[in-house]
Amino acid sequence: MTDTGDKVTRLLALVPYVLNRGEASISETAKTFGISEDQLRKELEMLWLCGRSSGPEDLIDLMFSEDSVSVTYDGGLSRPLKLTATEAMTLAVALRTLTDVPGATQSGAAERALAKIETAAGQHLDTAGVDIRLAAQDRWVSLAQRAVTEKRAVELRYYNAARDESTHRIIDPVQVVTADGLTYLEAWCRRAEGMRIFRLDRFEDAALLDEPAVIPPDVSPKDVSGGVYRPAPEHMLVELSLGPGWEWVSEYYPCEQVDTAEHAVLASLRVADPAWVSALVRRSGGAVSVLAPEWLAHEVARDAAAALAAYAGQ
Amino acid sequence: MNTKTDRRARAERGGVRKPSSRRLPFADMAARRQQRLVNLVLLLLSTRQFVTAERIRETVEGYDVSEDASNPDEAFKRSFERDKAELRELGIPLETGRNSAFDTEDGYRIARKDFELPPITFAADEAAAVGLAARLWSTASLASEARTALIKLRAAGVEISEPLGADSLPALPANEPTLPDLLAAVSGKRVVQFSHRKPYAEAAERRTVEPWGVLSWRGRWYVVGHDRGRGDVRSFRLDRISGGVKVLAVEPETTRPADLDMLELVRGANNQPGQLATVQVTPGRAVQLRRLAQKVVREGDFDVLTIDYRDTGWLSALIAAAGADAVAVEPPTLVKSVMALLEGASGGRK
Repeated sequence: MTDTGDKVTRLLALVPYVLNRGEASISETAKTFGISEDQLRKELEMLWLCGRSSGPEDLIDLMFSEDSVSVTYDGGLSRPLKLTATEAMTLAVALRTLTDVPGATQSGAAERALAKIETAAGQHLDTAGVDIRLAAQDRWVSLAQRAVTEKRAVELRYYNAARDESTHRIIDPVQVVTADGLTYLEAWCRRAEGMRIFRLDRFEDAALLDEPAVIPPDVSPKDVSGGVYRPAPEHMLVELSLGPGWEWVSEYYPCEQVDTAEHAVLASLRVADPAWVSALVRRSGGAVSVLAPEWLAHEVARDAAAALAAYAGQ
Repeated sequence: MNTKTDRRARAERGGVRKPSSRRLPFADMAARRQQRLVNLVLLLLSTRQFVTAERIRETVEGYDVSEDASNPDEAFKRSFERDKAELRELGIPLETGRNSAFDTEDGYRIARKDFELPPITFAADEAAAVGLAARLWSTASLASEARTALIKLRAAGVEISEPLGADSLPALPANEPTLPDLLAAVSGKRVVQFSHRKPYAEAAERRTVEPWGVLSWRGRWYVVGHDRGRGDVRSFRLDRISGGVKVLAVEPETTRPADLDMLELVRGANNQPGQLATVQVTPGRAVQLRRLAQKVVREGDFDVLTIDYRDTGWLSALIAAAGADAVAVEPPTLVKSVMALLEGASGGRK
């Protein structure tokens, strides 16, 4: 829309807006219309000089007081302009997208609003021509936020990447945090009986429960200012040898110590789950290997051998 | 009618608390034009009679002053044409016609039913949904349409407050200047033409497309439709379209298929044909591989996955990572590759 168009749309909306409220506060009206108070006063003054003719009886009449305005004569502008096809489509498409965002709106509100927009537009809005796919973490952020605000437990199907499995649990949400461009829900996990942090893009399904979130009194929200996956002291310390092409592991995960050896980088890091190490070693085909602890090195080799056993005879 | 005298009279009228300054700076051309457009709307809205251009010129403040004094008639005509176009752009339909058989020229009017937003009320949760919906567009190229739509609804008395948790709401991908035009072409079923540059191509190509829809996926916008030149379905990334979108005055030959899956089409456009792998997995495990699978069939104690892939190294690393929960079955190159990784990991290769 042109600047002139934008402005004229606003001018034509101002009179019915004030009229509908009887008396409108200057500061609130300016905020609603997204303009400064000075600009609003200027535009109201412009309107005050508008009419179907320049005869005084035809001019729009406004009453100004210190910080509010009211309409004495609307000049024939009692209703705002109808929505243009593009405006109606813009809202309709966004509303339909919201129906696919769990927890974004009260149940059915987006659908009902969409139907009313269609009625107001006086036509069926063909929203099928617009397909908006939100990223996984965007789809769940409203539900996560709501669970925290309303202190409600959540039933969650979650993808555990370290174990490459889909899990089912009930969690009691504490806070939504964003770190390194990812959004997480921190919650008490009833299954693990501990605080856990869940990546929203790994939610497979989630539902708000009617039961309240119960968080044990002695846990406190995690400080994520230093990144979400800060190694915890109670996690096992593992020493890895990172062969050619796998040095990135030492940069990607926080390490306690990194040394360079011939043909390899030696990294010490704290690991929550030994299964993650095992999978990393298999994925690398041994280019990553475990130097310590020794029992883990054996376990990892045993896991790989067990997987290899399936190919016996080939 | 001497309009200037009346204005002055009004400004000097007592009884009403006046705004601080009562006259606009004369030099403010844009403001004068905006005011003129409002006046024009008010005049054409106030009458059920058609109003001739001549009468409009006499009545509406703002047409009487002409910079082009050498040919005032011509100047008026130009201004009036521009104004009519602007109003049409704003969705204000001007009706043309004659009041009687004796009229020698067409006049204009605005029908109130085409102009006014019909009565509309929203429950609180519906209004919140509308506010949230408009926020979706906050950074995209339709932000101004979403904003003016909200202004109109608010002017109709709907209370739409800033949505709670708005900071967490995902905004749609940013500015694509051609999006509004393409969206209009989709809903208006128009045929369009634009210049599109293929990946790695040096120059843009002119495409004639019957757009069926637009898709927002992974931070990008795409338009999907029937490419007339290719005689087939194509998808185009909007950030690869340069220049504007031209609407052609021709009828489309195709309609959007009812089962159109734009995401599938756009995804497919980026894929080279690959080969199919067969992988046997433990039920409930190896979720990452399951997600890649086009087909999952239960066979005895296992699930058998069919996976379309191109990169053997990549897929075999995923299968090896799944450990004993996944076994590569076909093709032999993939099986060999997985076995080599597992041998390495079990210490069989140093």
